[in-house]
Amino acid sequence: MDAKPFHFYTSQPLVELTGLRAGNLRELLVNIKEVDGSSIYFHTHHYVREHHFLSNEYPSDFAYWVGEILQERELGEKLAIIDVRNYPTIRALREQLVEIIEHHLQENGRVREVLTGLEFHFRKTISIIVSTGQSALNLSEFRACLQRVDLNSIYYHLVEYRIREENLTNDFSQWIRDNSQKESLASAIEKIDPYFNTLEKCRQKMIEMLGREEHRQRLHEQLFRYPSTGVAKAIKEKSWFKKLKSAFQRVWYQE
Amino acid sequence: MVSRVVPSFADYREVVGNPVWEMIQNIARVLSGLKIKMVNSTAVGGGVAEILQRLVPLLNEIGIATTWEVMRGEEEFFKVTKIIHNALHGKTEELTPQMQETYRFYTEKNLRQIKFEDDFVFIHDPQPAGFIQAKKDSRAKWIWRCHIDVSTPYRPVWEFLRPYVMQYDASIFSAPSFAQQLPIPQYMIAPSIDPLSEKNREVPLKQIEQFLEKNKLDPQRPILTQISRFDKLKDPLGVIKTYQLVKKSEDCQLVLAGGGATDDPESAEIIPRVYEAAADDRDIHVIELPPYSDLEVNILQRASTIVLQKSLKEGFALTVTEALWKKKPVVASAVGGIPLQVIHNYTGMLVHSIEGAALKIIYLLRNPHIANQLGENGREHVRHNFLITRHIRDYLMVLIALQHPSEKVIHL
Repeated sequence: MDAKPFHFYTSQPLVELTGLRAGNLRELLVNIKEVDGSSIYFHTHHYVREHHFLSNEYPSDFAYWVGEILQERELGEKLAIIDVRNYPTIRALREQLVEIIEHHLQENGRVREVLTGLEFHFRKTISIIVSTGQSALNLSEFRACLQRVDLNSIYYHLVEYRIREENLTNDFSQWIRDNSQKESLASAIEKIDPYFNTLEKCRQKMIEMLGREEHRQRLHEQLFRYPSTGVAKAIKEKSWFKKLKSAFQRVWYQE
Repeated sequence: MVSRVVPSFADYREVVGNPVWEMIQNIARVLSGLKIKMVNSTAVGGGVAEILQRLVPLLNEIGIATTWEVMRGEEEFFKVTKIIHNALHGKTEELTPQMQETYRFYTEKNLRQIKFEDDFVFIHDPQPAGFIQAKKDSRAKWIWRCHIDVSTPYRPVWEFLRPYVMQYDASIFSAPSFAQQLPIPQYMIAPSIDPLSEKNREVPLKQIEQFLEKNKLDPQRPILTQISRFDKLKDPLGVIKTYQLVKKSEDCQLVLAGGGATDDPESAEIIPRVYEAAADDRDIHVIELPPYSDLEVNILQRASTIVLQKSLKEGFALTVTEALWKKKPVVASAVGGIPLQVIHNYTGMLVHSIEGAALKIIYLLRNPHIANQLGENGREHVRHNFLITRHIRDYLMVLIALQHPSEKVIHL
């Protein structure tokens, strides 16, 4: 197979202040509707990068501020449960945030004000993409690179690429799918949730999956090293074996 | 004191990990050959000088030629800049026409002695902000780096400063709440600490014990500590009241330690009031630290059970960063850059009053396992977000952003 190499990049964020602020839910809503898309992206994603040692209960600034600072716990939880991976575009994510907050405001008349100094300040981000100098031609090299790169690189390929390309998959899974046809592995990596796992944990999960894939590949090669016996061929053709293999792979890649 | 070898950039590899360390060098290579000038108003004392002392040599080491100029001024100038400083923090202060003239006089006097032949000029804080008038004769991009809390500035004084700030190519603030209505980009860069400096390096336990004994501190009883300049905005009197509330239900000791800076004439006024408030309570230890007391600060923070930062206003509060790096539970006011560091209930506890601070301290003293967990989280938070390596990276990224105006994604 003429595989395309996978080049590992890292994305470094430079945060820019917008000067927009909210002291209550209505002001938050107005700004969410109007602010630059890179601000929505920042506030729903920077937790993944900055607090990557924590898997905390509020994976977005909006949810944290509403739940912990504004003390609107119910709404905070509703914002926190939004699975950002289901929204291929920032526009779609923004619409969902607006819908939830508007619904809450309709249901509950009250609008609490936060204490001075605890207002929500809208920020946005500039991404600077730098090569890590690491690249892989096969899964074994890919696994080795994963161990070496910084967490911002994991973030870039697992999270930022998907958002930028308005894609439902991540960069890693895309490359695996395109270059090694390991669909089970690609979809298993897709299932890793960087919003509820630390980036380090995501890295470790991928490394484990790739390790198991390598092990399986070696077993496979050993099994078919002696085709003259006909055993391998017989096994391969049996439909019961295919079912068993499929079940085994499901267990194998289970998170 | 035994002098130590100044750490080189290579020494940070172990602290931040190889990938981060290499990434910074990769970015620096893109910018290699550029020249930067840093300008501030004090070489010693305060967070800005402390950061520059480490940042400048490290930038040079990774190939960015960086020089550092310190603005010179007499007492009359620093009295004016202190008024500006306090007003930017929100205090009502009158900046008379004569004071404005003093500001302009020292600006021009300094400008006659400094050449700006660099590619980028970073002007730190309001004291040298007027240097922007030299921009017209230079090819540099000019950046105003504001370290202080300007979230609610006293408007007349801000309006005096604003025309200067608007002429810069970009500004940098330390926290989201400091953002202003300005026609130039406002980047957010948190300050940082140096994990290998005298103030933050590991210290042998024996050395800590000796220090406690010398200062008559009991290692068997909890030690509450606030380390900061003796300044009204750090609220040392509020800290004493907090301690007195805690003491009613939990036995403990209080350490109030700090010094002044060469550009801060206000320190001398507050210290007698602190002694007066401490009265004859032998468990309150007021320690006046001279410049270059970094090791003493390090030891005090490491010896503390809980670190307080009960400021009324703050820039960023590097003392909080230092305490978090040492795995200390921090109880701090939700002002300035503190909420960026103290994520309530994750890396510490945010408070809004003397009573609130006392309550949280009592809670942590009674629940040491929670205090420990906050400390562990705090250390990792600092490792990823507030070490000097990240600061270097951010400055490099500002240079890149200014080379690529209006781009949201920049591929190097």
